Amino acid sequence: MEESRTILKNERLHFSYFTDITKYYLLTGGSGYPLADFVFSSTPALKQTSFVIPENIVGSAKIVRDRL
Amino acid sequence: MAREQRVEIIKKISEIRGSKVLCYVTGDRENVSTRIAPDVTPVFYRHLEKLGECKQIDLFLYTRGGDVLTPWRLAHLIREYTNRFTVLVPFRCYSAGTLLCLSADEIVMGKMSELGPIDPSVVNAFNPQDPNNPAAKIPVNIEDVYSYLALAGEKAGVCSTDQQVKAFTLLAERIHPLALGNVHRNYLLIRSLAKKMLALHHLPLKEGRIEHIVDNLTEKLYAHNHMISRREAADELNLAVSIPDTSFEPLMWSLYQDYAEELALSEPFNPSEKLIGGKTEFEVVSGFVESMQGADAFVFSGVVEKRDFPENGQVNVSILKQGWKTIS
Repeated sequence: MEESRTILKNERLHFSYFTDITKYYLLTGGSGYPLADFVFSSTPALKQTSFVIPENIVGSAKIVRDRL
Repeated sequence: MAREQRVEIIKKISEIRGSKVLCYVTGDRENVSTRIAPDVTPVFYRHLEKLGECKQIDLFLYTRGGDVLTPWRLAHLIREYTNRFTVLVPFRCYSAGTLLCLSADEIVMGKMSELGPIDPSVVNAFNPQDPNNPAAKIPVNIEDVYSYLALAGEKAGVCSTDQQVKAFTLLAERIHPLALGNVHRNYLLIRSLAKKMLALHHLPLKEGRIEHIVDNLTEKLYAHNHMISRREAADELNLAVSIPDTSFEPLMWSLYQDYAEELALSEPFNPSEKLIGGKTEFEVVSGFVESMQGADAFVFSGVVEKRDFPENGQVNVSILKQGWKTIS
């Protein structure tokens, strides 16, 4: 599968998503709802059932993107 | 503003309403959002125990939604301490938040208040894979599945049993049968939950009103991101909406603004701003449960570090810990 990865540049921090209109978050049984782009080093929630879910980016901002 | 100022606003609201006030804010700050989930139940319990039994509890609620079963548990827990439960909605109160409102005897809505439909998307291990990311499962919206079957019947003229089987087979070829089973179970669950939440009212609702509300909130708004204003909630959905007077509404709004400012809801969380040298630890608060008696915060903590491999200047963010933490 050809990967169309987009990088949203935010100064020094790079959030990378597989498409330019989608973010991914981790769904667990807890309240935490961060994007899956973060690395979870030792979060106990990961031992539970969890899913990575795509979510469309909805916003007014027109973000300049660099394509790889 | 700090907690001291918020306590002053909470105290004023409590005096005006003759109630005890509990605030629940799930932050929607980009990159560190939080949601309604079962792990908040013991946090509510701690606050409710401190507040004690009383004639009315006002829940100040800001949320984009979350787990659909948690509102049922929270509503029951709150009603262990009071006969009259009301929700104060300053701004967004979507999905699972709206579901929680259904159990309230009164929903106080200002000009900016918004409720949302309760038509959840569901996901389980059998959901379709996201073609752009093999690690991700695509959620299936329950109403989309039923809408497809309705479309096949109403617009495409699928009426014979054979044609219905064909339409369903087509669907089952795209979505795993167990994922479809999960959709149907949740279709029944959300309606059942909404009805049971409305039945928790101190004064029972008239016959037919519950069905009207549930039908509207689950399938007749046609868009999951439909924003329901107080006028629509009161006049069309027939919810137990009350309008705050001109002195009370600014109080609700100023409390919301305080949380929005404290949680920096309008600006994305960017841990690289905290980076000093090659590696820095960070903590960010992204949710609150607060009353006059105390405060709990949902805290993400982790490490942000700069690496020069595989890409020069790459910043990596690792979340090491997340959860509710008592801060006061």
